[in-house]
Amino acid sequence: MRPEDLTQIDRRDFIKNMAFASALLVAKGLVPGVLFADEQKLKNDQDLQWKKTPCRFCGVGCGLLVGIKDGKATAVKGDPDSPVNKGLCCVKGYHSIQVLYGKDRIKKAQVRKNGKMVEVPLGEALDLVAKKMKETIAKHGKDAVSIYGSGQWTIPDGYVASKFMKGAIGSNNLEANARLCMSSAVTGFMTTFGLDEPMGCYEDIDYADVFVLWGNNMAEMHPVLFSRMLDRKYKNKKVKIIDLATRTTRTSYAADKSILFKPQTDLAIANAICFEILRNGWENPEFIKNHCSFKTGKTNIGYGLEEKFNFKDEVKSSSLDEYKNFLKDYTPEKVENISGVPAKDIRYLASLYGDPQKKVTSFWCMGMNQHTRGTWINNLVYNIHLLVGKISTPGNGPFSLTGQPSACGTVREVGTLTHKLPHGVVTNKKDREMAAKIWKVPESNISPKPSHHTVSMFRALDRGEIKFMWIQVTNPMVTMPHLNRYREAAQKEDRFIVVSDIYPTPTTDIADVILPSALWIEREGMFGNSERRTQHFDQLVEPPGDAISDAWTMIEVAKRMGHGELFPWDKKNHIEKIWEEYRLFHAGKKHNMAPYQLLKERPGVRWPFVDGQETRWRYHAKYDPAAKGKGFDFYGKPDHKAWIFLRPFEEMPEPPDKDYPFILNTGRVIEHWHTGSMTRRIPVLHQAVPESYVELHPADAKRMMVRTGDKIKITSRRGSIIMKAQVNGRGRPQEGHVFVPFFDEKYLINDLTIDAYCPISKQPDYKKCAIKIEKV
Amino acid sequence: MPIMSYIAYPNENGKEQLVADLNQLSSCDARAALNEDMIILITDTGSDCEEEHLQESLKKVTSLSCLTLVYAESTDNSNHGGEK
Repeated sequence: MRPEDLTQIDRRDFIKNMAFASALLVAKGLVPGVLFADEQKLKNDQDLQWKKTPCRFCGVGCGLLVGIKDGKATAVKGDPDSPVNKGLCCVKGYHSIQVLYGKDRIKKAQVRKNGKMVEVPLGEALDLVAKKMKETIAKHGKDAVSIYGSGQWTIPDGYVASKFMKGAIGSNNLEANARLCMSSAVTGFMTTFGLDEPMGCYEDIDYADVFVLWGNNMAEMHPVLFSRMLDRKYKNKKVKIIDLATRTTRTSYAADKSILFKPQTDLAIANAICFEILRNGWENPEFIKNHCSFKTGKTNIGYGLEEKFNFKDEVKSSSLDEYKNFLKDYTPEKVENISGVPAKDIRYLASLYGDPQKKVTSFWCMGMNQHTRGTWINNLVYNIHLLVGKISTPGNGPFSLTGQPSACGTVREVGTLTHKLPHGVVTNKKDREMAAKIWKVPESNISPKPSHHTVSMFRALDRGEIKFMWIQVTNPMVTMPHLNRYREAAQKEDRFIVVSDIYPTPTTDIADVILPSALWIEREGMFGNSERRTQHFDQLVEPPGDAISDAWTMIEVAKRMGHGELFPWDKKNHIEKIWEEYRLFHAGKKHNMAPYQLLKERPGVRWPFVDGQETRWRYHAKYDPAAKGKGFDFYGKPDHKAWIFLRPFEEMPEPPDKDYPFILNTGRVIEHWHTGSMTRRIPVLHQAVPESYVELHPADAKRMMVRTGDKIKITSRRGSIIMKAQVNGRGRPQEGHVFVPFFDEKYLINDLTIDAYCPISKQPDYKKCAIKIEKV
Repeated sequence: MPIMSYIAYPNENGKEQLVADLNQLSSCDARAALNEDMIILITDTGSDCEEEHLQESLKKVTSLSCLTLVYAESTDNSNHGGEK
């Protein structure tokens, strides 16, 4: 037997032990106290080093322990010390390390020469990127270059991008894909509370009596939090889970009550709940009087479909009486006609929120955020909680969940969006002065004018105003709405596209330069999750080939462009130095971040971190050191009050009609992460759901004589696609609706979606556009 | 060359029978819980073809009530996903 064969046998035994260990962990989660005879053997593996890291996938931020042996990640399990997941993982987390070792990892830089991508030394590719950026700026101005990043960027990556674009180059052409998933949550928080991110934390799950899920399929999208919620329910029989959605999902089946509504009418339902609360006298008058103001904004605000669309809201003061008058249009009976939800179900929802004996947590994610009135529906759910004073205390809270591992930590907190700075916004002189002081650049370097949000940025690429785009850790050639327009834009003659990534994707297909990225635990970094928890991870394994972190890639390009003095760090210590510089932006009781050393030691720390303590509930003096007085203090607003907005129901931009009578909804499945560029390379996940499909309602399928597996042509005003039907699968759309998962690059469903967006948040709506369907 | 682990549940009072049935299949290693009606099944197949054959055999085990996949790793690091 050859030595390598012996190694292979040892390795198979080792993997079998890991397979047993993973199953054991799950078994103990399912049945606490269960015992197996072989457990003790597992404790004897002396060669394996277990290291902590947050999971690479969703925004829940589960703590993982990764087993390292011989320089390779060979095992993974949930971290029992992580307060997020308490040792549990979902199917993606359990298989996460396999994403490091796909056979087609991008290991070398590539440059397009005579129409073909050829491998080149990394230094040559970086020289070319720097040269192209400089040339473009010299010829067309600094706003002709752009960086489009991601909520999967680590915090240091995002910080370097912000300093490079806004501090060094002086352009606000910096955006991230979190614009497509979280910006309505941001503008919702900002307009109601004046500060971003949830007031509560995952411990709300341990206290709530009622969970209302607003268009949020948590069973598939946030499975570990869903498990925690089910655990709470099974231990407390009075706990209720209400699934309020446009499609029947695995979440619906696990809920106590499933309520289906017509897309977009959540606006009317939220107002009807408030009407019913006030009609029954269930409101909390003291809380409203002391802690709430009433406001109005513009109405009939459009959908952002026009080229160079511009919108600015006008906020005016209102009153409780005006609010009551406004709500008269939203009686449960009237809203039943709008939404399709029976009036008795609306009254039931109101009774849950209005019961003073019940603690209520509302959860939501893409259903409310990917919405042409996304800011409004966020405001309206806050209204419900504010009317009854159920907020900022254990178990009581509106809770916007995130979809990416660092949508909060990087995009929202570092501020990798066109209007943002690490603290505050570019339009505010004091915020610019702070950034200039910390970055050691002249204040005049930082442009006071936001430039392009994501859809606008790709439209500017199409028009030729942007000539150079550097795309990092994201796959817009699968995810942009009205995709075919922007794919053609990126391929126009004088556009130059750089893509930093780990695997080939449709976005690397349109690149002029591809840069190999180090992934997750192949470099040091931090992510920030949905509950304001920052989690550090060390470099645990070596990246393949020439791959380096995106932060260091940008530093190398910045140096080549003459901005090296802004990044005076060693490759060895740059993450620590970046973190300590970044922390300066958030100093103070409202957002203080934990020091680097503490982050290394703990399984995450929630901000504000003040006097050695994490803040679990903001805006209440009992829990939040920034709050003044003895009770609630919404200190984000100048009047220290939360704002209740009078926001009406307005229709979707493209309702179904006789030519396009169906509604298309898009989303995800539990097995696949976003565009599938990672999970489709994990064999067990790929085999579980090998290709996308279109879900039909059984009545529609019967009428069209369609069975599962039959081919369906879906057509919108923007494009068409042929894919296989699924009837009575894991999800069931309403009659007249279809649902398509977007993870499969063979079926680019976003060729069909509409690039309408919320005029306030600029977040596109992937959940509803008009289509027609035919059996092929 | 996949290695997988599952949580398996027997039909009522059938734990011993299920362990015996599973251990009869080549590539299967079934380990029963000492104090619950629960089994951990570890499978180790030499090829995709053998894996497919095993999956078909598992479907025919009548003492098996429920089988849930927990872990899977392909030891040759082969990539089955991401093709365009």
